[in-house]
Amino acid sequence: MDRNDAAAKLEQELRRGVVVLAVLSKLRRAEYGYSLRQALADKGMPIEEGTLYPLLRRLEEQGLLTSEWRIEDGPPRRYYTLSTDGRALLKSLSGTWRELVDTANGILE
Amino acid sequence: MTAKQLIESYIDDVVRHVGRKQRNDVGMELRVLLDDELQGLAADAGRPADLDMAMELLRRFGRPEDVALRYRKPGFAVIEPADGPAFVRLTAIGMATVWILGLVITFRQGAGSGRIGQWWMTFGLGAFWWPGFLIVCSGVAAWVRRRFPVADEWQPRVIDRDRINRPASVLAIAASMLGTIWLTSPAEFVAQVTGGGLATEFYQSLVYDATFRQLRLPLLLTLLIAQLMLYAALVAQGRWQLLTRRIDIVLSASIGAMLIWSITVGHIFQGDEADGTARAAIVLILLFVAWDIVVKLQREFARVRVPTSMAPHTNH
Repeated sequence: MDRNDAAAKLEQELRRGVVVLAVLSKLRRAEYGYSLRQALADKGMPIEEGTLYPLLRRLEEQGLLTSEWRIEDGPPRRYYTLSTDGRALLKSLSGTWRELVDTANGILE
Repeated sequence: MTAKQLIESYIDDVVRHVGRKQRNDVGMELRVLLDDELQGLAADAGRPADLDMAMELLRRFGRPEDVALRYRKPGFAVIEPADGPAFVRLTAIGMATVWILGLVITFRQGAGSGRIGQWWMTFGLGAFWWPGFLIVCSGVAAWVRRRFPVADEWQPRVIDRDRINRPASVLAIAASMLGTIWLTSPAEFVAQVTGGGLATEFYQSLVYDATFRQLRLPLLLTLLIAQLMLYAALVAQGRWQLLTRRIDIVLSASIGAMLIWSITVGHIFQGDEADGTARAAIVLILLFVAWDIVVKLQREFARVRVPTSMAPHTNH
C-alpha cells in the first residue's frame, strides 16, 4: 500500500464516522435514497451508493428511521424519515460532534 | 443484453444473499434506486443510458455479495480474526501429522504403485476432518462467548513461566528416573517388580535387539540422563534461565531425533510383538516431544523483551 492509498483510507475512515450523523440530519424531512444521496453530495459529502442505501435499512432496523412507499412524480419510492428515537439520537450525536470538533480544534492548534 | 436486464441480473444476485424476509423489499427498492442512479448518470453524460453506463454503475456499487452483506444484520464470526493465524497453524500441523503418519502406516504394508492412491483415499482425504473439527469447536466457542459474555471477560492472572513448581518437578523427575531405569533393562526391571512370577516368554520378549543395545540405547540414555540432571539442577535453582531454557529445547530436540532414529533403523526388541508395541509407543512419545518443543519455542519467541539499550546486564 503506497502513501496515497493509506491517506485515502484514513480519510475515508474519518468521513465514515460522520456519515450517520449527516444522514440523520438530512432525514429530518422525508427523503428517498437517491434524493438523499444527491442532497448530501450537494453539501459536499458524497457517499457511495453501495454504502448509503444499505445503511438506511440498517438504521431503520435499529428503530432510528421509519419508511414508507410513496408515489410522487415517478415510480414508487421508499421514503425515509427520522423516528422519535432517531430525533433523540440526532440531538445527542450533534452535541457530541460539536464537543469533538472543539476538542480536535484545540488539539490541532 | 440491455441495461435494464443487466440491472435485473445484478438485483437477482444481491437478493439471493439477503435474508428471505427482506428479499422482495430490498429488491424493489434497489431496482428504483439503481434506475434513479442510472438516469442521473445519463443526465450528467448528456446521452441516454446504455449498457456501459449501467456496468460502470454496478461496478461502483460493489460485488452483490458485499452489498447483500451490508443489508444483513451483523452476524458473528465462527473464527475470530484474532484466532485466524492459530487456526491456520493448527490446521496445517494437524493435517501434516495425519498425512505423514498415514504415509508411514501405508508404506509399512509394502511398496507399490497403488500405495499413494490408497494413502490419498484413506489418510489423504480423511485428514480433512481435522479443519472441520476445529471449525465446529471454534463455532461452539463463539456461541458460548455470545451467549455468556461474562464468562469471556479477561481475568488477570500471574504469569511467571520461569518459576519452577518444585513438588511437581520432583514427582516428574522421580517418574522419569523410573522410566530411565526401566529403559536400561526392561526385562530385568519387570522381573524385579513382578518377582519373576510371569511367563518366561514375557521376559524374553523384553530383551533388546543387540544393535539397539550397542549404540542407540547408550546414546538415548545419555540424553535422558542429561535432561534429568538439568531438571534436578532447576529444582535446586528454583527458576528457568535463558541458558537452561535453550539447553532444554536442544535436549528435547536431540531426544526426538534419537527416537526417530530408533524406530527407523532396525529392531528395538527381539520379539516382533514387543517391537511393534514399542514403536507405536515411541510414535506417541514423539508427538508429545514435538508438541513440547513447539510450545517451548513459541514461548521463547513470544516473550516480550526489553529493548537491548534498556536491558540490565543480567542473564534473565
